[in-house]
Amino acid sequence: MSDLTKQSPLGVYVEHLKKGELAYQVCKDDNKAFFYPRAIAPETGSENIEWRVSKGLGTVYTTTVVYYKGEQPLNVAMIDMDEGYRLMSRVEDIDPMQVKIGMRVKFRAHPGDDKTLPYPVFTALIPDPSPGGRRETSASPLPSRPGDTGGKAEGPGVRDGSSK
Amino acid sequence: MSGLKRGSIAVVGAAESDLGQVAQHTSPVDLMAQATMRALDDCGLTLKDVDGLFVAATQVRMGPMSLAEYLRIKPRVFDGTQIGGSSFMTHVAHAQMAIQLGLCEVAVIAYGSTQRSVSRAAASPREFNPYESPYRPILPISAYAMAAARHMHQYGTKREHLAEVAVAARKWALMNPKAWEKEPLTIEQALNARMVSYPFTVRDCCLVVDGGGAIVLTSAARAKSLKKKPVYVLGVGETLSHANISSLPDFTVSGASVSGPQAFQMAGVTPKDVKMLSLYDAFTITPILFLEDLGFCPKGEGGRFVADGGIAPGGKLAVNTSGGGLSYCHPGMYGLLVMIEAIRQVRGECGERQVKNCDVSLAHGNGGVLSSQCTVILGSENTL
Repeated sequence: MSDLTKQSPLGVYVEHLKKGELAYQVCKDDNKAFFYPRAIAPETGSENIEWRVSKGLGTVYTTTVVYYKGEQPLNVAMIDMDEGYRLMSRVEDIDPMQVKIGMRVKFRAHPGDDKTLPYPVFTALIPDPSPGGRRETSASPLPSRPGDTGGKAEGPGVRDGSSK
Repeated sequence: MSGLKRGSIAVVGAAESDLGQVAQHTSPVDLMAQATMRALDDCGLTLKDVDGLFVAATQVRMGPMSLAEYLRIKPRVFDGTQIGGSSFMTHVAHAQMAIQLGLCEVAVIAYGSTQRSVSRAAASPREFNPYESPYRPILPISAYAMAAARHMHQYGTKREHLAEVAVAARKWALMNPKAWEKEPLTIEQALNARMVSYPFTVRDCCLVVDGGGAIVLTSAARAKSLKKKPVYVLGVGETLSHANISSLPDFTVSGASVSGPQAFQMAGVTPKDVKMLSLYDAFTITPILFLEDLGFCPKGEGGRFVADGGIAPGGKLAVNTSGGGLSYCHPGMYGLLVMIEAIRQVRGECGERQVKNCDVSLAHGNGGVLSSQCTVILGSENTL
């Protein structure tokens, strides 16, 4: 049962991020994952909600590059997490125009600053052909979102994952 | 929409306020009031006749109160439903309920904005969202840009198709003396304009201008005795799908796929019967999505539908003959002006850009970040 005088959904989420974890919720009535965090589960209206820590793997659903005057271009993307929910984020450490739909990505926590709470960002999971570089790729399971049409970029990761 | 009757009410007055750039210190309510009186003059009614007032705006928190105070009227029915740019289509549906039930007889729907004068940031401040704001999307632009990117990925839509929408709007605008843009635009110019949020350049984005408008609605019975030929409300449909873009399940399908069929069913017409469409073009992707979702082409074919001047003057289908939000006027929440052009086309008042035999037109409103979708189908007396 939620008690909003003691703890808020965003508060719990931020505590996880401070530990380097991406947390999400599952409604125990219909076993559906949802995001953003809520006190009441969508559709069921249930308070029977479980917090879970994400494995941190997802696929770029769509992407844009925003141009602020006098700044470097900035990526903004929607990420479909393997656990079956979606969030807005950005893919870092890569040219924003090279962030592609269908690209596999991995979570890391951005610490935020004095004005901004910590928040999740992502880096590209680019399969590395060297033997030592295969570990991260093979750790990438199939996306669980049914009917996902993420695209070709998932191909290699999927094959590597199943041949383990 | 069971309960609402096809043709039970009609639009009898329609007018814009002054548009473009208004004088310093003009208020949004000044523009609403000016448009209201112009719309009343258009049909020969007076303020004393108005007993229903429907207002939404971004700069006026409690619209019906502000406009009623300004005009010193005491409407019996009032509604300030604020769901972004499609609010006014929803107001039509709500006015129809009120008029059919006899709660009011003459309803005014009004809007005003001074967003060019005071800046968009001041006119439409956005709510902080801890799950989106840290990523600094330029909203609403980046939300629609991500819808366009997904449509391009899934259906092979190209940036050139988006540019076609901007160029078609500009061609229509050059036939509209009230349009803000006065110079021709080419595909190359649209593609090479300043990038704002990929795949959108500034030419994929609507104008930021001042303006407002008003329409007057009354019962079909009373409409017959007024100055202008009535434009009947044949069908309405409305839906909400989300508030923030992160919660839209499929970025290639809008709520127009819900509101459109509702409106068509009530109107008893099909897309083939519609001679002209006014589709809320906040960004070049929206007419493409709405043509698909409203049933004017199959899902995914919108880009190819608008190619080669498909919706430009002389094209397959007359869309946004005013020049749209892209080239005519976009004062923040543009839905009322979307309807005004569709009304004028049925009246036959559009001069050089008039669509021949325009008995049925469709006005589709969009609000938020593809969040609210409302469709109104309008018809002349011949369609009753």
